[in-house]
Amino acid sequence: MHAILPPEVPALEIRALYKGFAGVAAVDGLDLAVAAGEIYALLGPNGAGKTTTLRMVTGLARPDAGAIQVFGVDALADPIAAKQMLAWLPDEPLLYDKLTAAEYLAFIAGLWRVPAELAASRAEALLGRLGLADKRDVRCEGFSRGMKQKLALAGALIHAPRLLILDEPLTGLDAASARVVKDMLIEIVAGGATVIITTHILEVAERMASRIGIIRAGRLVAQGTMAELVAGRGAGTTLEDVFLALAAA
Amino acid sequence: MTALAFPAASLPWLVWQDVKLKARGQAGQRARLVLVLVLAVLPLVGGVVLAMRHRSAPMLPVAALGQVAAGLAGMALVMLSSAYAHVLRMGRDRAELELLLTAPIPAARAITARIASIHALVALPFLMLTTPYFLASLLLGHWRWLAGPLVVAAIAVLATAGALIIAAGLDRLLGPARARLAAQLVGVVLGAGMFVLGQTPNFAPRWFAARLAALDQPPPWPLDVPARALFGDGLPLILLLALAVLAVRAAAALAASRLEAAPAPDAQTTGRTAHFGGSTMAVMFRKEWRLLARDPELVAQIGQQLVFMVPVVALLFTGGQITAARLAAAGVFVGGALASSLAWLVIAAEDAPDLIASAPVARRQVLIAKLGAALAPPLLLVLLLAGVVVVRQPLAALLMLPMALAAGLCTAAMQLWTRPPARRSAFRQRYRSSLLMTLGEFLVLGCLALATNLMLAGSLWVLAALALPLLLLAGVWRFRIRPPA
Repeated sequence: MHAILPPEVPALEIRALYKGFAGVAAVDGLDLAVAAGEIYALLGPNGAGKTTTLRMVTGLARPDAGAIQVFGVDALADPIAAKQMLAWLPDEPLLYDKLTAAEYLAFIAGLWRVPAELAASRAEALLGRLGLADKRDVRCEGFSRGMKQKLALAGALIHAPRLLILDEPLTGLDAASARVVKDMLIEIVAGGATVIITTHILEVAERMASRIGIIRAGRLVAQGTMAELVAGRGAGTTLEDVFLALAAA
Repeated sequence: MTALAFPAASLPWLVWQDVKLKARGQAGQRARLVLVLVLAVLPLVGGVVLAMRHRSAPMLPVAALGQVAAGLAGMALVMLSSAYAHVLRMGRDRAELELLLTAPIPAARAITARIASIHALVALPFLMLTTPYFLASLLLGHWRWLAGPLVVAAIAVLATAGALIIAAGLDRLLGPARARLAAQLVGVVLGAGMFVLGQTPNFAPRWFAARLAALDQPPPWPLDVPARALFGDGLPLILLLALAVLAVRAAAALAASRLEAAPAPDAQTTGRTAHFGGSTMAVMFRKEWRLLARDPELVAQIGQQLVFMVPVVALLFTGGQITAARLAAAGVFVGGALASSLAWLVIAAEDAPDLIASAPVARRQVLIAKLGAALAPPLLLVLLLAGVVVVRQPLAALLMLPMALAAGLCTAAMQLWTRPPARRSAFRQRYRSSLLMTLGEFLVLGCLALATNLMLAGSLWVLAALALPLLLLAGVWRFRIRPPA
């Protein structure tokens, strides 16, 4: 059970985050706040520091400096408590080839301490929704890229995370599956969860995100709603125009 | 030598590319250099010395035919096993072949090149080992013995055709997945048989001497054909080469049909779904064991690596004496080696490291669970062996368990501190990836096995046998790969 937090507590708060590799800053003093219950799209060109930032939030990499708070919990001081509220879906699905789809979900539920019965019912619902019900007892080694991606998403959702972090979640999905995933994300946000998404498909960010952040060279260069980002840039300005102007500047 | 020596997209160019790629996949640059030195320099010296010793032998040494025939049979078995592994890989790794098939070259040439590269890969190690001997023999007057390399190549070609026939037969009988497993098991049994046979002079010297004496008689026809051909006897040589030509054609035809009918990946289902409830330790335990139990190929490979340790373990039994103390030492060595293999699998070859790292579980807890999963099977094995030892010498059995645990922990620690993340499919290459660490691991295991023996003998040298692994571990810790921040 999570403590009831005042509404002003952000889902994610990053302050002065810094991470360098071999003396080169990948994330350079980043400040970012994502409110609870929103879909936040983090955009940026290749190598801008998006994935490094998110890996630090999920505890996969340790920052050189800065602070990360997940729903008010210091993720660096108490990573276990922070991870309990998080789910991370990387751009390459993390699966075990020799486990079946149902076993994979049961394993993740076990790691997040979801009661077995609840996990089983959630697994059935997720597999059904994602079109994998008939694959529940099939080993992952025979899955296509899209099926692996969907199962990895089901794995991220099996423990009902409060903050869902998705790195390129639509990679490898056909149009119908992509639509299902987008609908699911909107639903879980309506249910009170928060979603942070990185994508190179700007249309997805434009349509789904309540706020968009643009990162370049490890720094946040713009942030706001779609309307705020295009404001003052002339009629007919698209997110692509804004992105290209800011990311290439 | 570079592929530039051949016209691009010609058959030899394609074969060279394939052989080069396969050789690259086997080991790192330094390991390849060591391999070339071992395979080229040592046989050169050894071959010349051996040829000098045989310079007064007759052109057709009838008395040696039995031993040569036995040696060639052993070589043919190893070649068959190697060819089978290449044939399986050819069916599995289709991406490269499909790239070739989409290129503007005849499909038959692409397939022939693939088969020719298997012939080359199977034959080359043996040719490198034996050719210096045959060349030196030629210079010393045995001109007919120059047929030797031809016979080695012919046996490689026959072994490849045999491997293709076995693969096709097993596929039809059992299906691709089971055929692969059956092949692995046969490989383990054959390998074990050959190693045990090779070590019989140590633990069954009389039996070995009797078998060796039987080889003094030349074998009956047709079993003597390869041996006679090796010494350049006309008719057997022609017969063997004719068979090899037929085998080349059969191999090309079989490979073409095998590649055209390459199966889709197996969609394996399971009747019983595993449950992952309980503590983190229980969840991790079940995951590791389930992954291992579902991967019979991997289990067979672990068995194979244990078989390769037979010569080392057999050293403990030199002279034919099987005492409780020696059995205990062997248990410590084998238990530690098995723990090392399993530790590599659960630690270095974790399929989803980011998933585990992003779970709300302390790293230490994950590590303890993984070590537990890796150490439990070897300890069970050692416990069984202790059941045998306890009858002869209870103290040996009692000592074997903690020493095996120590050996397992030491090798697991070495895996944890030094091995970079890898795929499970790279298990076979793990000993080749770092020669230094492999030697270190064997040294630690050997010292702990020796320490067990010395402790039971009441020798003070046990302190030295224990100090060496401790020093080595301290060195490994000092130069460990730190986990990425």
